[in-house]
Amino acid sequence: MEVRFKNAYHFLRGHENVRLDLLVLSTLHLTLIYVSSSTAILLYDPDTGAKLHSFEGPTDVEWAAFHPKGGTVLLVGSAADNTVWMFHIPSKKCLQVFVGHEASVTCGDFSPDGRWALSASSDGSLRVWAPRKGICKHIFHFHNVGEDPAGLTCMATNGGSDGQLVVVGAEDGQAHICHIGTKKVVASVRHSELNSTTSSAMEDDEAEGAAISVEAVGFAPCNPNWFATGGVDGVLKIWDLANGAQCRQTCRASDINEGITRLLWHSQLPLCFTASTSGVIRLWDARNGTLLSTLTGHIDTINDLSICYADEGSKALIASVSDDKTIRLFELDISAALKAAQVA
Amino acid sequence: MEDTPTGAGLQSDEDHLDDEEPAFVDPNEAVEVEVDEDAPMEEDEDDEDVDAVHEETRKNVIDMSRFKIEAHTGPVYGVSCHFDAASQKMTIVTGGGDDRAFLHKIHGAVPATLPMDHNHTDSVSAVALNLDYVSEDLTQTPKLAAVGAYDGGTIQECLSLFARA
Repeated sequence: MEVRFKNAYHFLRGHENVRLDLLVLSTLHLTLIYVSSSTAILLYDPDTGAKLHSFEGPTDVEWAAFHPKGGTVLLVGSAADNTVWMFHIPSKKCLQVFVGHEASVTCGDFSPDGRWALSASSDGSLRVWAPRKGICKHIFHFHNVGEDPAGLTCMATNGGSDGQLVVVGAEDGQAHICHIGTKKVVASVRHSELNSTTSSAMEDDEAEGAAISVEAVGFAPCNPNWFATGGVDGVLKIWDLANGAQCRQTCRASDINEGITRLLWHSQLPLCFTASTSGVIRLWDARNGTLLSTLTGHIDTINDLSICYADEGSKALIASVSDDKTIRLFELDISAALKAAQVA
Repeated sequence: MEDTPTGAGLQSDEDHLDDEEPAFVDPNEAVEVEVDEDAPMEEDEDDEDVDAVHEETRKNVIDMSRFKIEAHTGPVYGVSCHFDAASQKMTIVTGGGDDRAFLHKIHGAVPATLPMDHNHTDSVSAVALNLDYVSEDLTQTPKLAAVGAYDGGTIQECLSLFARA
Protein backbone atom coordinates (compact mmCIF):
# COMPACT_ATOMS: atom_id res chain seq x y z
CA MET A 1 0.00 0.00 0.00
CA GLU A 2 1.41 3.31 -0.96
CA VAL A 3 0.46 6.74 0.22
CA ARG A 4 2.00 9.88 -1.14
CA PHE A 5 1.32 13.41 -0.03
CA LYS A 6 3.03 16.36 -1.60
CA ASN A 7 4.00 19.13 0.76
CA ALA A 8 2.81 17.12 3.69
CA TYR A 9 3.76 17.67 7.25
CA HIS A 10 3.37 14.64 9.37
CA PHE A 11 2.93 14.61 13.07
CA LEU A 12 3.55 11.32 14.67
CA ARG A 13 2.63 10.61 18.22
CA GLY A 14 2.36 7.60 20.40
CA HIS A 15 4.19 5.21 18.13
CA GLU A 16 4.84 2.84 20.97
CA ASN A 17 1.17 2.06 21.21
CA VAL A 18 -0.41 -0.80 19.43
CA ARG A 19 -2.53 1.59 17.51
CA LEU A 20 -0.70 4.29 15.69
CA ASP A 21 -2.48 7.42 14.70
CA LEU A 22 -0.84 9.25 11.87
CA LEU A 23 -1.98 12.76 11.14
CA VAL A 24 -1.08 14.19 7.79
CA LEU A 25 -1.58 17.86 7.09
CA SER A 26 -0.98 19.29 3.69
CA THR A 27 -1.29 22.77 2.28
CA LEU A 28 -4.35 21.77 0.30
CA HIS A 29 -6.26 19.45 2.50
CA LEU A 30 -6.27 17.84 5.84
CA THR A 31 -6.06 14.12 5.96
CA LEU A 32 -6.42 11.89 8.92
CA ILE A 33 -5.22 8.36 8.67
CA TYR A 34 -5.65 5.69 11.25
CA VAL A 35 -2.85 3.25 11.07
CA SER A 36 -3.03 -0.03 12.83
CA SER A 37 0.56 -0.98 13.13
CA SER A 38 1.38 -4.63 13.28
CA THR A 39 4.95 -5.71 13.76
CA ALA A 40 7.29 -4.83 10.96
CA ILE A 41 10.77 -5.01 12.53
CA LEU A 42 12.08 -8.14 14.18
CA LEU A 43 15.33 -8.59 16.06
CA TYR A 44 16.97 -11.99 16.35
CA ASP A 45 20.04 -13.52 17.90
CA PRO A 46 22.24 -14.23 14.87
CA ASP A 47 23.82 -17.20 16.62
CA THR A 48 20.71 -19.12 17.59
CA GLY A 49 18.00 -17.54 15.46
CA ALA A 50 15.97 -16.84 18.62
CA LYS A 51 13.60 -13.91 18.38
CA LEU A 52 14.70 -11.18 20.77
CA HIS A 53 12.32 -8.33 20.19
CA SER A 54 9.82 -6.89 17.79
CA PHE A 55 9.06 -3.29 16.99
CA GLU A 56 6.09 -1.71 15.44
CA GLY A 57 7.39 0.21 12.52
CA PRO A 58 6.31 1.74 9.27
CA THR A 59 4.76 -0.33 6.54
CA ASP A 60 6.88 -1.49 3.60
CA VAL A 61 10.25 -1.52 5.32
CA GLU A 62 12.62 -1.13 2.41
CA TRP A 63 16.00 -1.14 4.15
CA ALA A 64 17.57 -1.43 7.59
CA ALA A 65 20.96 -0.27 8.85
CA PHE A 66 22.69 -0.50 12.21
CA HIS A 67 24.54 2.37 13.84
CA PRO A 68 28.30 1.85 13.41
CA LYS A 69 29.05 2.50 17.09
CA GLY A 70 28.10 -0.69 18.86
CA GLY A 71 25.29 -1.61 16.55
CA THR A 72 22.52 -1.06 19.07
CA VAL A 73 20.60 1.58 17.16
CA LEU A 74 18.69 0.55 14.06
CA LEU A 75 17.54 2.81 11.26
CA VAL A 76 14.82 1.65 8.85
CA GLY A 77 13.18 3.36 5.90
CA SER A 78 9.73 2.96 4.44
CA ALA A 79 8.83 2.62 0.80
CA ALA A 80 5.21 3.43 1.53
CA ASP A 81 4.79 6.24 4.05
CA ASN A 82 8.05 8.09 3.28
CA THR A 83 9.32 7.90 6.85
CA VAL A 84 12.60 6.83 8.45
CA TRP A 85 12.45 5.29 11.92
CA MET A 86 15.19 4.90 14.49
CA PHE A 87 15.08 2.31 17.28
CA HIS A 88 17.29 1.76 20.31
CA ILE A 89 17.32 -1.97 20.77
CA PRO A 90 18.53 -2.44 24.38
CA SER A 91 15.86 -0.06 25.72
CA LYS A 92 13.31 -1.32 23.17
CA LYS A 93 12.36 2.21 22.24
CA CYS A 94 11.58 4.01 19.07
CA LEU A 95 13.81 7.08 19.35
CA GLN A 96 12.76 9.07 16.31
CA VAL A 97 10.55 9.10 13.29
CA PHE A 98 12.09 11.30 10.64
CA VAL A 99 9.39 12.84 8.51
CA GLY A 100 9.86 15.01 5.46
CA HIS A 101 10.47 12.88 2.38
CA GLU A 102 7.66 13.20 -0.12
CA ALA A 103 8.02 9.77 -1.71
CA SER A 104 9.47 6.30 -0.97
CA VAL A 105 12.67 6.29 1.05
CA THR A 106 14.69 4.02 -1.19
CA CYS A 107 17.90 3.77 0.81
CA GLY A 108 19.62 5.09 3.89
CA ASP A 109 22.35 4.63 6.45
CA PHE A 110 24.19 6.31 9.26
CA SER A 111 27.22 8.38 8.36
CA PRO A 112 30.42 6.39 9.08
CA ASP A 113 31.15 8.54 12.16
CA GLY A 114 27.63 7.83 13.42
CA ARG A 115 26.75 11.52 13.77
CA TRP A 116 24.06 11.68 11.12
CA ALA A 117 21.28 9.60 9.69
CA LEU A 118 21.08 9.77 5.90
CA SER A 119 18.20 8.90 3.61
CA ALA A 120 17.61 9.11 -0.12
CA SER A 121 14.21 9.07 -1.73
CA SER A 122 12.20 8.75 -4.91
CA ASP A 123 11.37 12.42 -4.31
CA GLY A 124 14.87 13.17 -5.59
CA SER A 125 16.33 14.44 -2.33
CA LEU A 126 19.05 13.26 0.02
CA ARG A 127 18.33 14.23 3.60
CA VAL A 128 20.71 14.55 6.53
CA TRP A 129 19.01 14.05 9.90
CA ALA A 130 20.25 14.87 13.38
CA PRO A 131 19.56 11.63 15.26
CA ARG A 132 19.17 13.14 18.73
CA LYS A 133 16.98 16.09 17.85
CA GLY A 134 15.14 14.30 15.09
CA ILE A 135 15.33 17.29 12.83
CA CYS A 136 16.38 17.48 9.22
CA LYS A 137 19.79 19.14 9.16
CA HIS A 138 20.07 19.53 5.44
CA ILE A 139 18.27 18.63 2.23
CA PHE A 140 20.29 18.05 -0.92
CA HIS A 141 18.32 18.70 -4.10
CA PHE A 142 19.77 17.88 -7.50
CA HIS A 143 17.33 19.41 -9.96
CA ASN A 144 16.96 22.92 -11.30
CA VAL A 145 14.01 25.07 -10.42
CA GLY A 146 11.09 24.19 -12.65
CA GLU A 147 12.34 20.70 -13.44
CA ASP A 148 10.90 17.50 -12.06
CA PRO A 149 13.37 15.85 -9.70
CA ALA A 150 14.72 12.45 -10.67
CA GLY A 151 14.15 9.81 -8.01
CA LEU A 152 17.18 8.53 -6.12
CA THR A 153 17.65 4.77 -6.31
CA CYS A 154 20.81 4.06 -4.35
CA MET A 155 23.26 5.55 -1.91
CA ALA A 156 26.70 4.84 -0.46
CA THR A 157 28.71 6.52 2.28
CA ASN A 158 32.29 6.80 3.46
CA GLY A 159 33.86 8.62 0.53
CA GLY A 160 36.66 11.17 0.54
CA SER A 161 39.65 11.35 2.85
CA ASP A 162 37.41 12.42 5.75
CA GLY A 163 34.73 9.80 5.06
CA GLN A 164 32.12 12.57 4.78
CA LEU A 165 31.21 12.10 1.14
CA VAL A 166 27.95 10.43 0.14
CA VAL A 167 27.14 9.28 -3.37
CA VAL A 168 23.60 8.84 -4.67
CA GLY A 169 22.43 7.41 -7.98
CA ALA A 170 19.39 8.75 -9.80
CA GLU A 171 16.79 7.51 -12.25
CA ASP A 172 17.90 10.09 -14.83
CA GLY A 173 21.31 8.44 -15.25
CA GLN A 174 23.21 10.81 -13.00
CA ALA A 175 25.10 10.35 -9.77
CA HIS A 176 25.79 13.09 -7.24
CA ILE A 177 28.52 13.38 -4.64
CA CYS A 178 27.69 15.39 -1.52
CA HIS A 179 29.78 16.42 1.47
CA ILE A 180 27.81 16.04 4.70
CA GLY A 181 29.92 18.53 6.66
CA THR A 182 30.04 21.40 4.17
CA LYS A 183 26.55 20.60 2.77
CA LYS A 184 27.95 21.02 -0.74
CA VAL A 185 27.29 18.97 -3.84
CA VAL A 186 30.92 18.20 -4.71
CA ALA A 187 30.25 16.71 -8.13
CA SER A 188 27.49 15.48 -10.42
CA VAL A 189 28.37 12.95 -13.09
CA ARG A 190 26.34 11.49 -15.91
CA HIS A 191 26.55 7.71 -16.01
CA SER A 192 24.27 7.28 -19.01
CA GLU A 193 22.50 9.44 -21.57
CA LEU A 194 19.05 9.11 -23.01
CA ASN A 195 19.52 7.80 -26.53
CA SER A 196 17.79 5.96 -29.31
CA THR A 197 18.27 2.54 -27.74
CA THR A 198 16.34 3.67 -24.70
CA SER A 199 13.02 3.74 -26.48
CA SER A 200 13.36 0.19 -27.74
CA ALA A 201 14.38 -0.99 -24.30
CA MET A 202 11.26 0.57 -22.90
CA GLU A 203 9.03 -1.61 -25.02
CA ASP A 204 10.30 -4.95 -23.85
CA ASP A 205 10.89 -4.09 -20.26
CA GLU A 206 8.55 -3.03 -17.54
CA ALA A 207 11.24 -0.69 -16.24
CA GLU A 208 10.01 2.05 -18.49
CA GLY A 209 11.72 5.36 -18.30
CA ALA A 210 14.29 3.78 -16.03
CA ALA A 211 16.41 2.46 -18.87
CA ILE A 212 19.15 4.91 -18.00
CA SER A 213 18.76 4.73 -14.25
CA VAL A 214 21.80 4.40 -12.01
CA GLU A 215 21.02 1.44 -9.76
CA ALA A 216 24.18 0.99 -7.69
CA VAL A 217 26.93 3.24 -6.38
CA GLY A 218 29.93 2.88 -4.08
CA PHE A 219 33.18 4.46 -2.89
CA ALA A 220 36.39 2.49 -3.15
CA PRO A 221 37.79 1.74 0.31
CA CYS A 222 41.28 1.55 -1.23
CA ASN A 223 41.10 5.06 -2.67
CA PRO A 224 38.78 7.65 -1.11
CA ASN A 225 38.58 9.61 -4.37
CA TRP A 226 37.32 6.74 -6.49
CA PHE A 227 33.72 5.77 -6.80
CA ALA A 228 31.73 3.51 -9.09
CA THR A 229 28.31 3.71 -10.71
CA GLY A 230 26.36 0.79 -12.13
CA GLY A 231 23.30 1.20 -14.28
CA VAL A 232 20.30 -0.40 -15.88
CA ASP A 233 22.43 -0.12 -19.04
CA GLY A 234 24.68 -2.87 -17.66
CA VAL A 235 27.73 -0.61 -17.54
CA LEU A 236 30.03 -0.14 -14.58
CA LYS A 237 31.89 3.18 -14.55
CA ILE A 238 34.82 4.12 -12.35
CA TRP A 239 35.22 7.81 -11.51
CA ASP A 240 38.02 9.81 -9.93
CA LEU A 241 37.14 12.86 -7.83
CA ALA A 242 40.80 13.92 -7.69
CA ASN A 243 40.69 14.37 -11.42
CA GLY A 244 37.63 16.59 -11.72
CA ALA A 245 35.30 13.59 -11.32
CA GLN A 246 36.27 12.20 -14.69
CA CYS A 247 35.36 8.72 -15.80
CA ARG A 248 38.48 6.54 -15.49
CA GLN A 249 37.09 3.28 -16.78
CA THR A 250 33.98 2.00 -18.50
CA CYS A 251 33.45 -1.69 -17.81
CA ARG A 252 30.96 -3.65 -19.83
CA ALA A 253 30.42 -7.35 -20.39
CA SER A 254 30.22 -7.75 -24.16
CA ASP A 255 27.13 -8.91 -26.00
CA ILE A 256 24.96 -9.14 -22.96
CA ASN A 257 21.74 -7.27 -22.50
CA GLU A 258 21.38 -6.84 -18.79
CA GLY A 259 21.33 -4.32 -16.01
CA ILE A 260 23.49 -3.95 -12.93
CA THR A 261 21.53 -4.35 -9.69
CA ARG A 262 24.30 -4.11 -7.08
CA LEU A 263 27.94 -3.15 -6.86
CA LEU A 264 30.38 -3.69 -4.01
CA TRP A 265 34.04 -2.72 -3.82
CA HIS A 266 36.67 -5.05 -2.45
CA SER A 267 37.46 -4.16 1.17
CA GLN A 268 41.09 -3.27 0.38
CA LEU A 269 41.88 -3.65 -3.31
CA PRO A 270 40.84 -1.55 -6.35
CA LEU A 271 38.41 -4.23 -7.45
CA CYS A 272 34.66 -3.99 -7.87
CA PHE A 273 31.99 -6.69 -7.86
CA THR A 274 28.77 -6.28 -9.84
CA ALA A 275 25.55 -8.31 -9.80
CA SER A 276 23.18 -8.32 -12.74
CA THR A 277 19.64 -8.91 -13.90
CA SER A 278 20.93 -11.94 -15.82
CA GLY A 279 22.05 -13.58 -12.59
CA VAL A 280 25.78 -13.16 -13.17
CA ILE A 281 28.31 -11.80 -10.67
CA ARG A 282 31.46 -10.22 -12.10
CA LEU A 283 34.69 -8.93 -10.64
CA TRP A 284 36.35 -5.97 -12.35
CA ASP A 285 39.77 -4.42 -11.96
CA ALA A 286 39.01 -0.72 -11.51
CA ARG A 287 42.52 0.31 -12.56
CA ASN A 288 42.21 -0.92 -16.13
CA GLY A 289 38.61 -2.05 -16.57
CA THR A 290 39.58 -5.71 -16.97
CA LEU A 291 36.98 -8.36 -16.26
CA LEU A 292 38.73 -10.65 -13.77
CA SER A 293 36.02 -13.17 -12.97
CA THR A 294 32.55 -14.23 -14.02
CA LEU A 295 30.50 -16.21 -11.52
CA THR A 296 27.42 -17.97 -12.85
CA GLY A 297 24.76 -20.09 -11.18
CA HIS A 298 21.73 -17.87 -10.73
CA ILE A 299 19.18 -18.04 -13.52
CA ASP A 300 17.35 -14.82 -12.76
CA THR A 301 17.89 -11.31 -11.45
CA ILE A 302 20.19 -10.97 -8.46
CA ASN A 303 18.37 -8.74 -5.98
CA ASP A 304 21.04 -8.36 -3.35
CA LEU A 305 24.68 -9.10 -2.71
CA SER A 306 26.74 -9.31 0.47
CA ILE A 307 30.44 -10.08 0.57
CA CYS A 308 32.79 -11.06 3.41
CA TYR A 309 36.50 -11.63 3.19
CA ALA A 310 38.66 -14.40 4.62
CA ASP A 311 42.42 -14.87 4.67
CA GLU A 312 43.15 -11.13 4.88
CA GLY A 313 41.06 -10.23 1.90
CA SER A 314 42.52 -12.81 -0.46
CA LYS A 315 39.39 -14.94 -0.42
CA ALA A 316 35.96 -13.44 -1.10
CA LEU A 317 32.85 -15.14 0.24
CA ILE A 318 30.00 -13.85 -1.88
CA ALA A 319 26.39 -14.37 -0.82
CA SER A 320 23.80 -13.53 -3.46
CA VAL A 321 20.02 -13.80 -3.56
CA SER A 322 17.84 -13.92 -6.62
CA ASP A 323 14.42 -13.96 -8.17
CA ASP A 324 15.24 -17.61 -8.96
CA LYS A 325 14.35 -18.29 -5.28
CA THR A 326 17.85 -19.43 -4.38
CA ILE A 327 20.58 -18.14 -2.13
CA ARG A 328 24.03 -18.90 -3.46
CA LEU A 329 27.43 -18.67 -1.91
CA PHE A 330 30.45 -18.28 -4.14
CA GLU A 331 34.06 -18.49 -3.06
CA LEU A 332 36.57 -16.56 -5.08
CA ASP A 333 40.33 -16.61 -4.70
CA ILE A 334 41.16 -12.95 -5.37
CA SER A 335 44.94 -13.44 -5.60
CA ALA A 336 44.53 -16.19 -8.16
CA ALA A 337 42.10 -14.09 -10.18
CA LEU A 338 44.59 -11.23 -10.28
CA LYS A 339 47.45 -13.56 -11.21
CA ALA A 340 45.42 -15.13 -14.00
CA ALA A 341 44.72 -11.68 -15.40
CA GLN A 342 48.41 -10.77 -15.31
CA VAL A 343 49.38 -13.92 -17.17
CA ALA A 344 46.74 -13.22 -19.78
CA MET B 1 34.99 -24.32 4.23
CA GLU B 2 38.48 -23.11 4.85
CA ASP B 3 41.24 -24.60 2.76
CA THR B 4 38.77 -25.83 0.23
CA PRO B 5 40.10 -25.22 -3.23
CA THR B 6 37.41 -23.54 -5.17
CA GLY B 7 38.76 -23.20 -8.66
CA ALA B 8 35.68 -21.19 -9.46
CA GLY B 9 35.92 -18.17 -11.65
CA LEU B 10 39.60 -17.58 -11.31
CA GLN B 11 40.20 -17.06 -14.98
CA SER B 12 39.65 -13.98 -16.96
CA ASP B 13 36.86 -14.27 -19.45
CA GLU B 14 39.05 -15.25 -22.40
CA ASP B 15 40.80 -17.92 -20.39
CA HIS B 16 37.54 -19.20 -19.25
CA LEU B 17 36.44 -20.16 -22.74
CA ASP B 18 39.32 -22.39 -23.70
CA ASP B 19 40.70 -23.47 -20.41
CA GLU B 20 41.16 -27.23 -20.25
CA GLU B 21 40.77 -27.49 -16.54
CA PRO B 22 37.22 -27.43 -15.27
CA ALA B 23 36.77 -23.98 -13.89
CA PHE B 24 33.89 -24.67 -11.62
CA VAL B 25 32.92 -26.54 -8.56
CA ASP B 26 32.12 -30.20 -9.06
CA PRO B 27 28.32 -30.47 -9.16
CA ASN B 28 28.62 -33.35 -6.71
CA GLU B 29 29.99 -30.93 -4.19
CA ALA B 30 26.93 -28.76 -4.38
CA VAL B 31 24.65 -29.18 -1.44
CA GLU B 32 20.98 -28.56 -1.70
CA VAL B 33 19.08 -27.77 1.43
CA GLU B 34 15.36 -28.15 1.69
CA VAL B 35 13.81 -26.43 4.63
CA ASP B 36 10.27 -26.58 5.84
CA GLU B 37 8.42 -28.00 2.92
CA ASP B 38 5.18 -27.17 4.64
CA ALA B 39 5.74 -23.50 4.04
CA PRO B 40 2.68 -22.09 2.32
CA MET B 41 3.18 -21.31 -1.30
CA GLU B 42 2.48 -17.77 -2.28
CA GLU B 43 0.03 -16.90 -4.98
CA ASP B 44 2.62 -15.71 -7.44
CA GLU B 45 0.86 -15.62 -10.77
CA ASP B 46 4.02 -14.95 -12.75
CA ASP B 47 5.79 -18.03 -11.51
CA GLU B 48 4.84 -20.43 -14.26
CA ASP B 49 5.68 -18.03 -17.04
CA VAL B 50 8.99 -17.24 -15.49
CA ASP B 51 9.80 -20.89 -15.00
CA ALA B 52 9.01 -21.66 -18.63
CA VAL B 53 11.11 -18.83 -19.92
CA HIS B 54 14.01 -19.79 -17.76
CA GLU B 55 13.87 -23.50 -18.40
CA GLU B 56 16.16 -23.11 -21.38
CA THR B 57 18.47 -20.75 -19.49
CA ARG B 58 18.57 -23.07 -16.55
CA LYS B 59 20.04 -25.86 -18.65
CA ASN B 60 22.83 -23.70 -19.96
CA VAL B 61 23.94 -21.91 -16.84
CA ILE B 62 27.01 -23.40 -15.23
CA ASP B 63 26.63 -23.46 -11.49
CA MET B 64 29.88 -22.17 -10.05
CA SER B 65 28.48 -21.64 -6.58
CA ARG B 66 29.89 -23.52 -3.63
CA PHE B 67 26.51 -23.69 -1.94
CA LYS B 68 23.00 -23.35 -3.21
CA ILE B 69 20.37 -22.88 -0.53
CA GLU B 70 16.74 -23.37 -1.50
CA ALA B 71 15.00 -22.37 1.69
CA HIS B 72 12.77 -19.70 0.19
CA THR B 73 9.76 -20.53 -1.95
CA GLY B 74 9.68 -17.14 -3.65
CA PRO B 75 12.09 -14.51 -4.92
CA VAL B 76 14.78 -13.61 -2.38
CA TYR B 77 15.14 -9.87 -1.88
CA GLY B 78 17.67 -9.19 0.83
CA VAL B 79 20.92 -10.71 2.10
CA SER B 80 23.48 -9.74 4.68
CA CYS B 81 26.46 -11.87 5.67
CA HIS B 82 29.28 -11.90 8.17
CA PHE B 83 32.38 -14.06 8.42
CA ASP B 84 33.98 -14.65 11.78
CA ALA B 85 37.66 -15.30 11.16
CA ALA B 86 38.30 -16.78 14.61
CA SER B 87 35.67 -19.50 14.33
CA GLN B 88 35.68 -19.62 10.51
CA LYS B 89 31.91 -19.47 10.68
CA MET B 90 29.79 -17.56 8.24
CA THR B 91 26.39 -16.13 9.17
CA ILE B 92 23.91 -15.21 6.45
CA VAL B 93 20.45 -13.74 6.91
CA THR B 94 18.00 -13.61 4.01
CA GLY B 95 14.46 -12.38 3.44
CA GLY B 96 12.11 -12.91 0.54
CA GLY B 97 8.83 -12.65 -1.30
CA ASP B 98 7.59 -15.78 0.46
CA ASP B 99 7.16 -13.54 3.54
CA ARG B 100 9.88 -15.40 5.37
CA ALA B 101 13.36 -14.77 6.73
CA PHE B 102 16.04 -17.40 7.28
CA LEU B 103 19.30 -17.61 9.14
CA HIS B 104 22.03 -19.67 7.51
CA LYS B 105 25.18 -20.88 9.24
CA ILE B 106 28.05 -22.16 7.20
CA HIS B 107 30.85 -23.96 8.92
CA GLY B 108 32.38 -26.81 7.01
CA ALA B 109 30.70 -28.70 4.25
CA VAL B 110 27.00 -28.33 4.93
CA PRO B 111 25.08 -25.12 5.52
CA ALA B 112 22.54 -25.18 8.32
CA THR B 113 19.38 -23.17 7.75
CA LEU B 114 17.04 -21.98 10.49
CA PRO B 115 13.70 -20.30 9.85
CA MET B 116 13.43 -16.95 11.64
CA ASP B 117 10.19 -17.46 13.41
CA HIS B 118 7.53 -14.88 12.63
CA ASN B 119 4.28 -14.84 10.71
CA HIS B 120 4.94 -12.03 8.31
CA THR B 121 2.02 -11.20 6.08
CA ASP B 122 4.07 -9.58 3.33
CA SER B 123 7.51 -9.65 1.73
CA VAL B 124 10.63 -9.49 3.84
CA SER B 125 12.74 -6.94 2.04
CA ALA B 126 15.27 -5.63 4.55
CA VAL B 127 17.81 -7.65 6.51
CA ALA B 128 20.82 -6.42 8.46
CA LEU B 129 23.48 -7.77 10.81
CA ASN B 130 25.33 -5.68 13.38
CA LEU B 131 28.20 -8.15 13.76
CA ASP B 132 30.71 -5.74 12.21
CA TYR B 133 29.99 -3.22 14.94
CA VAL B 134 29.69 -5.20 18.17
CA SER B 135 32.38 -4.83 20.81
CA GLU B 136 33.94 -7.41 23.11
CA ASP B 137 31.38 -6.54 25.74
CA LEU B 138 28.27 -8.23 24.45
CA THR B 139 26.17 -6.92 27.33
CA GLN B 140 26.68 -3.42 25.94
CA THR B 141 26.40 -4.37 22.30
CA PRO B 142 24.50 -7.59 21.77
CA LYS B 143 24.79 -9.41 18.48
CA LEU B 144 21.70 -8.75 16.40
CA ALA B 145 20.04 -9.65 13.15
CA ALA B 146 17.31 -7.24 12.05
CA VAL B 147 14.49 -8.19 9.70
CA GLY B 148 12.09 -5.67 8.19
CA ALA B 149 8.97 -6.58 6.26
CA TYR B 150 6.41 -4.96 4.08
CA ASP B 151 3.59 -5.91 6.46
CA GLY B 152 3.97 -3.35 9.24
CA GLY B 153 1.39 -0.65 9.42
CA THR B 154 -1.75 -1.24 7.51
CA ILE B 155 -3.90 1.75 6.84
CA GLN B 156 -7.37 1.00 8.07
CA GLU B 157 -9.16 4.17 7.43
CA CYS B 158 -8.47 7.36 5.59
CA LEU B 159 -10.47 10.53 6.01
CA SER B 160 -9.83 13.58 3.93
CA LEU B 161 -11.14 16.94 4.98
CA PHE B 162 -10.62 19.46 2.28
CA ALA B 163 -9.82 22.85 3.70
CA ARG B 164 -10.38 26.03 1.80
CA ALA B 165 -7.18 27.53 0.57
